[in-house]
Amino acid sequence: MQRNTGKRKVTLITGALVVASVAATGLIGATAYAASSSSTTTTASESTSSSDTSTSTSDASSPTISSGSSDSSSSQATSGGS
Amino acid sequence: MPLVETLPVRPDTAQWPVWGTVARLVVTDPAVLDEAAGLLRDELAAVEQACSRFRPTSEIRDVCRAGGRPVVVSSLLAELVGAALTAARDTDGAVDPTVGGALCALGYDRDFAELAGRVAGPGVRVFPKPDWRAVRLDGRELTVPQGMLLDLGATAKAVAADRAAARIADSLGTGVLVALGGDIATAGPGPDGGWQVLVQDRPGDPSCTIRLPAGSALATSSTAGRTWGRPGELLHHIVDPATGRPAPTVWQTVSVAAFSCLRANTLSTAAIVRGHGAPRLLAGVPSRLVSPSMRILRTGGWPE
Repeated sequence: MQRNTGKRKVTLITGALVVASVAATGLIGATAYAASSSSTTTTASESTSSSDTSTSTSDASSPTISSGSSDSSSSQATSGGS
Repeated sequence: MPLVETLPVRPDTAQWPVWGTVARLVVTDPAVLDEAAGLLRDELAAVEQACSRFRPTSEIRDVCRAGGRPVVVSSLLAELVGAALTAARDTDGAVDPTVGGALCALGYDRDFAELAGRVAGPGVRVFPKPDWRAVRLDGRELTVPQGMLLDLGATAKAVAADRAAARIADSLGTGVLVALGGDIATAGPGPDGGWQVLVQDRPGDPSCTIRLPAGSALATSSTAGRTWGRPGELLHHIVDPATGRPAPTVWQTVSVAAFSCLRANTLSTAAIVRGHGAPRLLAGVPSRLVSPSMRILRTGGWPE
């Protein structure tokens, strides 16, 4: 009797562990999928950076700049890599 | 090859070599040009004495030799280090002043003019991993961990331009533009239509001219400007703190406009380090990014 009860307990514990393991595996898989999806989205977004493009929206904390003269020699200074 | 300034020097302009690049000063009142040039020279000398990692007697070299003990520094060095730490915090560490050791390990251990034609030999030099959070600045008390070398080059030049422009405008009542290589600060009243700036990395690269409103600033960072070699590789001076290596060249050149040269330089340097993430970093900020194949991306209303 006691032996059968012990067997049932072992079976229940084993079953619980299996369920927990499956759930954890699913959670890890879902997390990995989300990370993968996020990474894919990022890559797709970044791929546009190699195109000749422009955006026109400037935030309020930045100055508004405009085109200068087509005669570059009338410029007051050069900004280049240094 | 650092910036080559090809624009004419007119009666309102002074220009001279400094820090391996060019200092250029333009004033709206030519009568005060000499006096303004004196103020700029004084400012540059003070900044160099405070934070040059190449000058053995500089203040920052003393701090780095203090073996990790706190040192009370000048208000100028405290300001320069504070600006560098702010840039690090604002960019999540993309612009990190503790990359001095990494730069030395790459061979950039002397004034850039002395690197020209020199081949950095192979060798092993061990420095602490870059981490700006290890530096403590409490008022004027600065603590740098033992063995760590600070390189304020990314931000000190910009702060110098901001400080000098403000000082000249305040002292002499003139509109002024201060350009230190790619870093440009303006102060006081500007010329009609704003300050006109030629944006171009190297001769032959695509260029544009823009008008900067008075009081605004512009910075350009480049992976092509300061390069040197060692066997089998060409190196540049913008180090990714995460790797201790020159940042991958996703962008050759990034130019950013802001209301201070420090802010503009912080963003342009961070954009080089961030690489593919730069457009997201610069969203809404007037910027021009040039790829190694000379393709151009403009953001934040940068004009065509």
